[in-house]
Amino acid sequence: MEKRRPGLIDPRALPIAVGYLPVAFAFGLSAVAIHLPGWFAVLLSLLVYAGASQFAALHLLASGTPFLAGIVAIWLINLRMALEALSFFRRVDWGHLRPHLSLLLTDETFVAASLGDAMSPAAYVRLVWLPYTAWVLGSLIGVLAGDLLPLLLRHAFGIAIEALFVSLLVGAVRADARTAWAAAAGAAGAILGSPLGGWSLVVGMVLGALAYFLATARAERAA
Amino acid sequence: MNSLTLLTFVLAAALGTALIRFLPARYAHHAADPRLERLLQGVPAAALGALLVTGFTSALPPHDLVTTALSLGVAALLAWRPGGVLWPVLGAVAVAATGLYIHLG
Repeated sequence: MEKRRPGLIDPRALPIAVGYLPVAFAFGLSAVAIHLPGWFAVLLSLLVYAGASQFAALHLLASGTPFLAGIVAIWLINLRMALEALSFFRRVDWGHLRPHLSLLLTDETFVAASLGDAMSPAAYVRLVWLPYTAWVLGSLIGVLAGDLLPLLLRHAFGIAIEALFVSLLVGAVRADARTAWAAAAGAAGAILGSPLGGWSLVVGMVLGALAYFLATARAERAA
Repeated sequence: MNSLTLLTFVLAAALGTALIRFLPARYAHHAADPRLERLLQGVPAAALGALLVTGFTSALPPHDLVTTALSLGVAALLAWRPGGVLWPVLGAVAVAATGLYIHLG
């Protein structure tokens, strides 16, 4: 039987892209609303491609934060990506392509790419190109045409990324029960770390990884 | 801020963020210790849990937590049967749109 060729887009990329569009749209809109030039918002999306830190950049610039402090804050918010890149790229053997492809890794594509079998570079590209395009185009549309999308629909699409996380989590827990411990500890860590702002995600990731480590050790002892 | 300062801001933010992604990816294979490996295996699921919590209250304005919970419940139910993520996501968006329509009018 002939093997079916994979399409240009990984199906998991669709909800991520759909979720990114309104957020990126809101980002472009917010940048213009605080009188930053449109090119600044689009260039930030094009080159930084990290939502939380981009919104933080708008807040920092609008509140008159010193230039260097603003830059360092953005780096700190994005530091969690080091952990994600380390976790994902140790599983794949893509040679010199590995660091370059890491530039398109986000929280959402990391989660989608990590759960399941190790991917080929082509499969990874099929997953990441559409969310990146949606993010940049969404920012551009936000800058150019703020309120064309009905508000209700814009708000409703805000649930798309969360729903994707739930579906990925359900699939992961069905495959490996230890991931439930990791996810629960990750959630608890994010709640405990909420006073730390952007760092709460890092606290959650560290606690969740520890929980998975302990669950694995316990399972090995029991075996 | 003038255009040159803003451009420097973007480039500095982009360069730092690129290095944050690039360097761990470049040297990821050196992290071959089995204990570290076991620890890192839990990171994706941990990130999922943390992201769900951090996004839960802000997913649907105006902080409509009931609609958020219902939408995600529908997504979980639809995801229970293996078959991709599109239907769970579309189901959640449909519930969210209905909930917001009732809530906001």
